[in-house]
This record gives sequence, structure tokens and C-alpha cells, in this order.
Amino acid sequence: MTRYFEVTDRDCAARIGRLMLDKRIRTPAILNSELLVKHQGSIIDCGCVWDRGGSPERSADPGKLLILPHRSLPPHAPPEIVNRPAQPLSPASQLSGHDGAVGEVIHPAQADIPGGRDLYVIGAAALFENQARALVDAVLRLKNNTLPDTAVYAPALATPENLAVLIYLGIDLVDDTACTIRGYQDLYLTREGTRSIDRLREFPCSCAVCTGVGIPEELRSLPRSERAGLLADHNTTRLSEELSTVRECIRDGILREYVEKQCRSQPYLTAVLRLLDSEHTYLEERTPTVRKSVLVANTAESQNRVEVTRFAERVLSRFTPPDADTDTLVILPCSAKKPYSLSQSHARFFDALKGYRQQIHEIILTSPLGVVPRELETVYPAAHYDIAVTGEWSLDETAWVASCLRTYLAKHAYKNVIAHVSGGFFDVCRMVERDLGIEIVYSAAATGSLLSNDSLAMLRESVAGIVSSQSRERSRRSPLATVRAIADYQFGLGVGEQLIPDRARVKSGKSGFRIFADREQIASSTRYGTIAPTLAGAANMPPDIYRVEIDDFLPKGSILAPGVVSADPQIRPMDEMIVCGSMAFGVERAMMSGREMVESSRGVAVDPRAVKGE
Amino acid sequence: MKKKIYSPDKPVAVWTSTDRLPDGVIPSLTMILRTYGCYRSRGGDECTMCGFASDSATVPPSPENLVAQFRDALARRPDGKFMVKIFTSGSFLDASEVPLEVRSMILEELDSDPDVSKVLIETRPEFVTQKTVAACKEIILKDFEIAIGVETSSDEIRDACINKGFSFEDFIRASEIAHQHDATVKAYLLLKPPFLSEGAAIRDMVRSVRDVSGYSETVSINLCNVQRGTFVAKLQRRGEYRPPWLWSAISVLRDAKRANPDLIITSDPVGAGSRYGPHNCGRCDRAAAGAVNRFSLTQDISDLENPEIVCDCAHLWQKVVELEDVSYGAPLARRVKARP
Repeated sequence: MTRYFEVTDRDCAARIGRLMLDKRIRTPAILNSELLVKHQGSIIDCGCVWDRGGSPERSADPGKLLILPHRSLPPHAPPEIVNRPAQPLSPASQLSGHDGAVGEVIHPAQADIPGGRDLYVIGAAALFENQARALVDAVLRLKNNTLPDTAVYAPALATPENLAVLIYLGIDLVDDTACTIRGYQDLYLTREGTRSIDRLREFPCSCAVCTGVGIPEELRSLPRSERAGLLADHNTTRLSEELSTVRECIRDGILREYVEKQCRSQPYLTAVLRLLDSEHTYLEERTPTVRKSVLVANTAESQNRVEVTRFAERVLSRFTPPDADTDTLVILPCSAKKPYSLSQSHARFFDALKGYRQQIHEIILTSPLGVVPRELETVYPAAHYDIAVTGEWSLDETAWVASCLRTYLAKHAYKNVIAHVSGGFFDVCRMVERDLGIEIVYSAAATGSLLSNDSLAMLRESVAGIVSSQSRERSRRSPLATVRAIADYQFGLGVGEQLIPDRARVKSGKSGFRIFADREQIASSTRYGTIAPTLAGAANMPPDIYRVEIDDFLPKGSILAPGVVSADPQIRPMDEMIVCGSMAFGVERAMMSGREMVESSRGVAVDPRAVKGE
Repeated sequence: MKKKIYSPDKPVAVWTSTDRLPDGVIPSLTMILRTYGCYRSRGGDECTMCGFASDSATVPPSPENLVAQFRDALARRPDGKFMVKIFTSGSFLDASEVPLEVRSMILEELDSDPDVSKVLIETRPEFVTQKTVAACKEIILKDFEIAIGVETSSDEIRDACINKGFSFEDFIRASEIAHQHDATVKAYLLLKPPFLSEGAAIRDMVRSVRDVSGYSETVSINLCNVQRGTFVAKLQRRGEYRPPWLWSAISVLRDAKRANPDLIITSDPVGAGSRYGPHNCGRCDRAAAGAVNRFSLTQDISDLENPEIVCDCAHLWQKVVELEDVSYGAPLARRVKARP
């Protein structure tokens, strides 16, 4: 629990926050190591117990954060030293008189991580450069064993090149040590990596140092003392610049895209991203359910990102095709235009299927989302992603989409499966067909155009051969099925039926839809294609899910984390959810995960939408 | 680790050098006898940086073997008067390493040798007892010095970073016993055991010299070097240890000598310039080590401030000393390359 650190923006594990000391430190931040050494900043290092230079005056200034006395140990120090009882380090004696923020150095292999600190320092973090596994393990071990509203400091590790990845891992504080030391080693740092100044022909930078010196040759001719300082300045400037870039990415919710780019400069950084993706729970819990930005899937790692895996997982666990007696499935390819329904290609598929759509299910195959049921095509990220399309498929893509289709078809037994696909999607269907031992009817040639009149006619014939036309009846699909599917996707299987009764009416407009029951609005759509229940609608929600219990107060505006008594742990940032307390009932949007709401003592937990007194 | 094949009648090493005594310099003959090894190492409790364990014999050498080793070494004496320094892979006064009769025989031979003017033996402090020192002094009437690897005056560092297994109190007690019997004491200190930042290591040495100055006539500062098969070697392989900079050694000698002008403070920069020994950037190592060696003989601080040993890399060293305290356990600038 902290009184001193508050997170204000989140993008997955990365966050923007503030450390409220005598001076406010906006995180992620670059600490000035020199100030730390001289005990002149807002963070005072009490020093290593082995250092006999005399530790600083124990500041009783409550505006300072004290890093408790520590033992400086490399990662492979003997465990008995790492875990040696902290008698000489006893916090009680060290903290006598200090009523302020406290930090503690945690060795990466330390067995017990003491709670109650405002800041944790990852011991010997600098040694994790080029050690992807050790870095990911150290950060996650610390994060998973401490409260969410504590700051994490990785000393002597940050460079312009690795900063984005460090912050993406969840690190809040870095310093300028590595940039300074490298300057003194004649190394010139940029976001792209490290260059020796001996091999530099022009400055790829226009900072004050580089423009002032002009050309690298000039810099090389300066005496070392002067040169080192200039290089350190340049390196640190580039680090600050990168920090601003990263902070902007966090605010815009596009840090993942940035990291997927930036990690390419070093194999170990790419390895960090991959290892982090394999620690799915860590990222999943922190990833918002919707984003205002477009999800750009440009790399092989894109298909492992939480938005993609979460969508696939929810399609599998939270989606049931409406009308249980419908036993015909049509598989269609994705389109560049989203939602797919608005594309020209899908308009022509609809034409071809006219009169039959009521009696079939449609799913769309796409990379990297896998299987998108027609009902969910408007839901984030199905209508909010972009991907490089070449017609060439990587084995990873094929395998991933195939696995999504395979699990979908294995779960929902259709009597007839018609695939109107070509190219990579055709290969996917053939693979699944073989794996499951089912028969898929192909309504187009593997390499032909799907939109040719022949193909479209074949699609119509394939469907007509199975189901009968119902052109005279209502040919449009029931909008209730769609909104219930969306509700299920958001809140869990079956919630759609409870939230949206059979008598409900869906009114569509230009900017989305609104749902009414008995003339009362129960929900509306959001810009992310999801549903936001109204107060009336929320009353129909099951009592135990997506619900936050608050203390006995009537919120006026945002609800802060300390006001939260309990929260459904499946709540993710940006989820629509229900707030209730003895004095209030409301429908709101989560700003942090359910766990974070409960464990944090600071920060906005819930953004208000509508609330009423009870 | 595989041990080299050795002859039980030959010492591990013998060399001649020059040593500083309070009243001048003197040639010295140093010998390392191959005993059964330090009892702590035999018990599996090794010091983190000590590679002598791998020099010790695999079967206990017989008394005859040890005497033969001693005689072999003594035969390589320098001309004229000289001082003899005897090291084992452990403690000369530990009877389980050097049996009593061997110890007596060696000391008798040294006492009766007219060219030997001073005898130094090294031991852990627990073997410095009234009985053993009295017995030695009964035989040897010449200057007799007991050298003890106290390493640091900090019990925390000696225990956690070195695993030495004795306390500063033990050293003081040994020193007092030695002095009661008119033996002198030489304290060996260790610059930069594992885990210490460069700056903390420097400060530890300056403080330690001050702390041992009342208990020893001479202080020798060993610059930690990486010996095969040791814990420190393992750390270095993983990039988690860097031997001290020679600049640090120079800074320690200068500051310690200034603070204790009457104390003899020496250092033998073993392995200087190698990545396994104390080193700077590669270009200035020879000059820097030379300054350390020269100062060890002259005790003249100006030898450490000779402008000829100035090098660019001292700027980097200074930054490392400053910033390594806030790297919380990671060495900074492990690789140092001199620019042409």
C-alpha cells in the first residue's frame, strides 16, 4: 500500500504515474544517478551495508524516498548470502524518524519480497542486458509478488535502444548510468543501437551536442575528458527523447506496436517480447479489452498479443452460434474494410446468399484473429485491426488460423460446412478438414477469384442445395442474436439472454445501436462495438460478475481505488461493469483490472457513466 | 578441477624479489610449499577468491617431502643477505599442514643460515597461540614476522564476501600474541573482494589500513585477481565480477599512505594488465603497475603521482567509482578498450 505512487495511465504492463515526493516525479522517469550518488535528489539511497564511506544522514524529511540499506549482490551470489536475515538491515531501526516513502533493493533470487514498500529496486539489473530470460523472470517475479501501485526501478540498464521494452515490461524508473558510462567508453547511443565513435561518419542526430560538434571527426579529436562528457550528454538526451516517445505511446495505447518495431534492433529485445508473450497471464490481466487505436498486426509477434489471443479464447469459450437448430456454416474470407459487412466483397457474398442467411451461420477467417463469427464482427478488435496483406501466408499464420478454426469446428458440430475461400484460407480449411475428418464443401476454386460470377453462383448453389430459401419471410437476421452474442463476448456465456430479454428491440442508427425493453433503454453500443448497459439494463445482469462493490458512499465522479471493497477479478481495464454499494448503483467503465482495484490504495479505479443513489 | 602433475619434493613456486623493510629494501626469497592445504578448504569451506586450494597436494606430503621442498627452494637464494618468506596453501603454523618437526627443522636451518636476515611465515590467526609463537621464537632469534591475511577490518565483508571464517578480533588477538613474543606482524588486505563496488572497495581498503595500523608493522594490499576454479572466477565468467582497476590500487595506496605516513604499505600487483588481474585499459597497465611496484619499495607518494602514468581511461574509472554505488550489485564497464 502506498501513499506516494499513483498510476494514471496504463497500456498493458506499461504505465504513466507520479511519485509524490518533495518534488513530483512523473513516471516512467529517468533518475539522475549523480544526484542519487550525492544524496541530493528526492530519492535518497542509504547505501550498501558494505560501503564504509559512511551512509548519508538518515533524512527524516518526509518528502524524500529512502532506499533502505542493502547488500549489493550480483545475480549469482550464494543464496545463503542473498537470503541472509536482514538483521543489520532491520527496517525498523533504519526508518526511525522517517515518515515518508520507502524503497528496497530486491535481489533477483531473493526468497521473500517484503511488502509495504513504495518502490522496489531490481538488484544488479544492469547484468540483464542481453539476458532476456533473466530479465523477464526478474521483473515478473517482482511484479507478481508486490502490489500493483508500487514503482519498480531498474538501475543502470536503460539505453535509448532498450527503454521501450523495459517500460513495456512494467518498469517505472530507470537512470542515466548506462548512458553516461557508455559516453565515457566512447560509445554513441541511439534508438537503433550502439556505435563506437571511431566508426561513425556522420551524426544521425541533431541534438545540441551533435549539431554543436558538427562531425564525428571533430568529436574524436577532442580530449577524452571533454569528449566523454559530450557523449554522455548526447546519450542521455536520446534516452529522454525516447522516454517522451514511449510516454506518448502509452497515452495513445500504441506501445505494443512501438515495441514490436523497436525490439528488432537486438535479438535479446525481441526475445524479451516473445518471452513476455509466453507469460500470458501477466500481460492479459493488464491489457485493456478495447483500445481507441487501430491494432496494427505487422509482425510475427502480433498474433501472440493479448488482444488476439483473448479474442480467440473468448470466441471459443463465450460464443455460441444462435439458433441451435441451424446446422449449416459458411466460411468466408476477411476483407480490408472493417467491419467486413461494409466491404464490397461481403456485400456481394450477401447478394449471393440472399434468402438463405437466416438459416446459416457465417464465420470469417482472418489473420491474426483466426475465426470471427459474423455476430462479433463489430467488436474490438475485429473491426479495429490492420495487417499487411500479400496473399503469401507464413506457416505461423496458417497454423494459428487453422488452430482457431479447428477448435471452433470441434466445439460446434455442423452438419454442413461450406467454405468460400481461396489461397491461404483454402489451405487452412483443407488442413482442418483432414485433422477433424470432416467434409467441407468448397464453393470456389482454390486459386480462382471468389467474386467472379461463377464463384458466387457456386456459393449460392452450394447453400441452396442444403437449405431452402426463405425469401418471403424476414430475410434479415434477428438483431437480438447479434447483440446477445456481443454481451456474451463481453460478460460471459449466457449473459446476453439475461441482459436482453426476448421482447427487447434493437434500434440501429448511424453511430451504432440502442436496445430497448418495454420502452426503456437497457443498453447502447460503444465506439468499440461493445455494449454499455444502462442502469435499467444493469439490473438484469447476473449479480456476481463484472461487479465492483464500493464503500458506503454515493460517488460523484470517478471512483478511486481505496473506495473499492471488492471487484470481480476478471475485470480488465476498459471493461463495462457495474458498481454497487449500500448507497449507490451504477454502470461504469473500469480504468484498471479488478485485482488492481482491490490491491491499490491510489488511483482512479472506475470512470463514471451513470450512477444513482440507492 | 583437474590438478596438475607435481613432484612432492618440489615447492609450488619459488621466486626472488625485493622487499621493503622499515629501514630500507632487501632481497627476498619467496617460497610456496605444497602442503596438504588449508584445513578450511579441505573441509569444503573455501574463500571466494582463493586459488591455492588447487595448488595443494592430493595426498598429504611426508615430512621428508616438505623438508625437501624447503631445501629446494632455499637453494635458489639471491646473493648476499636476504629475507625468506614462507607460504603454504594455508597456514605455516597449522601442524596438520606442516608437522611440528618439519616446522622446527625449517626454522632451525633458517636461524643458522648466516645469509638469512629475516623470516616471514604466513598463517591464519587461530594458529597464532602463546605456545606456537613461543616455540618458534625459541628456535629463531632473527627478525621473525607473522603474516596474516586479515583481508579487511570489516567482519561483514570478510564473512559475506570472502568467507574467511575469522573475525577482526581474532586478528587483533593474534597480533597481540605475536608482539608479546617480539615477532612483528604483516597484515595482508584484499582490494575488491567480490560483491563490492569499485568505490566501496577503495573505501574499505583505506579504512582497513587505518584499522590494522595499530596491530601490524607492515600492510600489504593484495589486488584481487581471478584464480582458476574459484567462486570469483565463476562470477567473472558470467560478467558479475571485475578485478580492481589499477587506478583504484594507486588511489588506495596514496590515501592510505597519506593517512598513515609511518606505516609500510606495499602492494604486489599480481597479474596486472590481464583481464584476470587488476587492470585498466590495457594501454596504461604496465605503467600503472610499475608505479605500484615502485611505491612499494620507496614508500614515496610522488611515485604514485607521476604524470607519466596518466591515461585517458582514468576518466572512465572515475565515473565507474562514482556510479557503481548505484548499480546495486552490477559491475559497470567490464570491458575497457583503449583508443589508439
